[in-house]
Amino acid sequence: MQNIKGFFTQLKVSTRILIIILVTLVMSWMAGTIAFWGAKNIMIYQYQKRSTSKGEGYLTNESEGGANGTAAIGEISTGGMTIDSNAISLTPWDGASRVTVLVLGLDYRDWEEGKDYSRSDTMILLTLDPFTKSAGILSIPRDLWVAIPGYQHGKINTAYYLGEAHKLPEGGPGLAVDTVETFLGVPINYYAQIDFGAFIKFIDEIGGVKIDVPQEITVDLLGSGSATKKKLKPGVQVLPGEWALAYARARYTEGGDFDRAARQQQVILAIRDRILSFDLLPSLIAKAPTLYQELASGIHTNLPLDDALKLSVLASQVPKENIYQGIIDEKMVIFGTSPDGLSILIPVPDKIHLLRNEIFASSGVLNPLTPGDNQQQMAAEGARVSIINGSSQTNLGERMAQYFSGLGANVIDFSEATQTASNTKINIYTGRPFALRYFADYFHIGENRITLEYQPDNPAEIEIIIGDDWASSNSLP
Amino acid sequence: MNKPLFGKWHIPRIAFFKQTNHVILSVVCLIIILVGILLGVILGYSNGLSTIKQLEKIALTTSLGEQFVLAEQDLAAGRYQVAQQRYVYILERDANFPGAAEKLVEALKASNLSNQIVIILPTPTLTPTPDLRPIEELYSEAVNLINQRDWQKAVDTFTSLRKSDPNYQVSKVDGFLYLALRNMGIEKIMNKGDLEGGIYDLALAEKFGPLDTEANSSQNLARMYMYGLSFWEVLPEQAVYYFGQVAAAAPYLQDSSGWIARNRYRSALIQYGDQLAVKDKWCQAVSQYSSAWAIQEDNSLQEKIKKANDICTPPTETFVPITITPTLTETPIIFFTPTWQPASPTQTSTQAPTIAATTQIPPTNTVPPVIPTTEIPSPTSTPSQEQIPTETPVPTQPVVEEPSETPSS
Repeated sequence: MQNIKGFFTQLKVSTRILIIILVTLVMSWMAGTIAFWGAKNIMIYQYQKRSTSKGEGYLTNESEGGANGTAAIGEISTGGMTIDSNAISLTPWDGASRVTVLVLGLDYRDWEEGKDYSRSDTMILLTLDPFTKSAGILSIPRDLWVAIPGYQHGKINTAYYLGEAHKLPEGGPGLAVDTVETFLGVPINYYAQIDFGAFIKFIDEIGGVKIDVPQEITVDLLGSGSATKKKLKPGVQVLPGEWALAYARARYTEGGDFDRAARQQQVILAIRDRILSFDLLPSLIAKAPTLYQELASGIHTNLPLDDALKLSVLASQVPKENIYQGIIDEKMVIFGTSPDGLSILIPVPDKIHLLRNEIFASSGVLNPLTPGDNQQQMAAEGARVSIINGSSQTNLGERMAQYFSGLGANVIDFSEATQTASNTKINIYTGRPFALRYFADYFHIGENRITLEYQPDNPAEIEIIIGDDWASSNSLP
Repeated sequence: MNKPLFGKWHIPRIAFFKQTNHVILSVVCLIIILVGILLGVILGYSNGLSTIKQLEKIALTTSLGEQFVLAEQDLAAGRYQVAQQRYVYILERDANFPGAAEKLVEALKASNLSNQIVIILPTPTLTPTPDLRPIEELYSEAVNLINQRDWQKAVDTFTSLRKSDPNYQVSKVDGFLYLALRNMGIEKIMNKGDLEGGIYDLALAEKFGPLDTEANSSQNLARMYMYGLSFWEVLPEQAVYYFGQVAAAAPYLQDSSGWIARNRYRSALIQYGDQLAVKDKWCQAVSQYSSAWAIQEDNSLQEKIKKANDICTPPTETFVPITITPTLTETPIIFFTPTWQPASPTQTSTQAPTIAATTQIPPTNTVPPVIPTTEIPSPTSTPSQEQIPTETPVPTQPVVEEPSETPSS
């Protein structure tokens, strides 16, 4: 070393500088090369890890839930979850509108029987409206007889199976979402297929759920054989993950699948209560990436982690009284048998529409926000009203115009019709729903005597043609 | 002692300067090395990125190829809608994928021939992004969309507006939303095959104000169609009844799978005929088959009619297929007089819908409605009523055990 130093000091200064520069450049080149390969390999490794992780997810599925071992194409992973980027039919959430997630649980029996592909065992629609801070839970029974897009009619739980078995571009979840959307008519933004293992882990993570078991119930802990059959006694108790899952899956009660749906909703609300009552949300959010990594193999979703976090915060702000719950139960179906002899539930559309509207349409931005009762709404609307007297009673139009003006209506003219009208009718030329409702109620007019034709340039927005029916029975002061 | 670093450019031998020179030199060297590392990282990152893109491209090509093969299998097996879905998926990702466009056309044609449907090509779903325009601009844009009768975009724009300021022109926005939802609902039902979506939109419109004749008729048609779908393949006599009514009023009303009401009605008639034949009610089966024949003839149906007719009538008679030329018009004029009234303007009735069609189209159903009442059969009257299956038997002697470990609360 001393020799080298001595040799170095004997060299000319310019030579010394040159050597230093050369050595530095060589070192820089070497370090750069190492950095180059490091950066490249880390990226490729992460990419491959992501690919493997999604493959593992499905492999885990195969071992736990019975799904196939082939990952759906076009999947990417963020934050540890398996994210499906190919969900072309699904509308991404804008962060402010109503958001709806289809939660899917797979059929454990399919796995037990060693089937390649699994049916869905649980279908629950969760909806959240940030505008009104309201939420909804709708359980869909698995034996519902529905049209499956692209396939023949079948039980709704076969949609997932068909999508997986036929390797549809959007896979089982995509077809399940399409089927539910077609059946209910509500847009679904995301899906989340949760395996049993992930469910158990999550419940254990939050320290179990407090459940009020109404009556003694036999539950089946994961596994096989009668040794896994246990009984839960009535009363409030904190159930760990395995027991909570068994409770949610149990169908050995009188109400069968409908009771089971109620228990599943009970567990969902218990999770919410647990998180809120122990103020677990901040800590869960803090360790969300880690938690999601742990649960990654058991959750398959197109819901990005950041949206999941936003939703969990929003959900925590929804008061319990604003959570609408519904189950498509025995009152909304007819028990039947499919052509191949399976027990099915035939939906009664109108009854299901009522439930759907209660959960999805009872709040949100697409609801009237004009304050007041109908008369006040009518007055606030200020619709230009024209009254035509088609009755044989003269001056009725003028009297009606004066009467309605006194109530705050914007009556712009009244006239006598050239022909008599036996029935009172309303023509509407633009969107004036409150005035329309007010006048329809006042004249006792059903939709068969209301016509709507959009004519924005028409001087009158609402035209009331008074007929003899009203003239003979009106109670005008 | 120390030879000056810069030799002939002798700098005063002050230790401070010497040290400073060394420090400067060291820093310069370090910077050069760091620049090298930085360059390496940048180049490695971009190289890794391009490698990943290549890998993704290979994966995509492989997966698109797989979808193409599967689509061809679907096409060959007559699963035209699934095949279409796959081809659309391929073309969305690679518009130049060899043969995909041609095959899509082939699938569309095949689907069209098989069902006589009007194909609704999927429209790309736009990603909604927060609209940060001033609220006046949003309002003006939304009103323009209403005037252009672009109902869906109008609803989206008013929704954005309402999220920005729910109190802005509240009454007018309510009015426009009513109008847009009402028209969007009708459009979905009558033109887009989205029957449930249309019913839902009309239910939303009804929250604002009552529906008019046209909207109510569309809603009833869709509801009847959905009832028919509920009974599809399981209670064909019910399906015949509901699809018969829809087909008489709007034969080309389409559902999301591409079927039209007329073809649903025809298939339901055949299904019902088959069911009657199984029950040895051959003469009634002939009646159903003949009604189906009147809508559209085909060889397999002719064989069914012949067989049923042979058993129903003396075998000496020669069967002559009934030839009734369907008189359906391509663009039917529909006008309904709904006989069903909702329980209240804001609530959908649970009573089954009925419509008295006074359309110009003569109904193709030559068979009187199988079910004279519009009552939906109750579970008790359903012949195939069954208990909910309990696929796993309840253990007779379950082990009583409490959870061994309950997490601390």
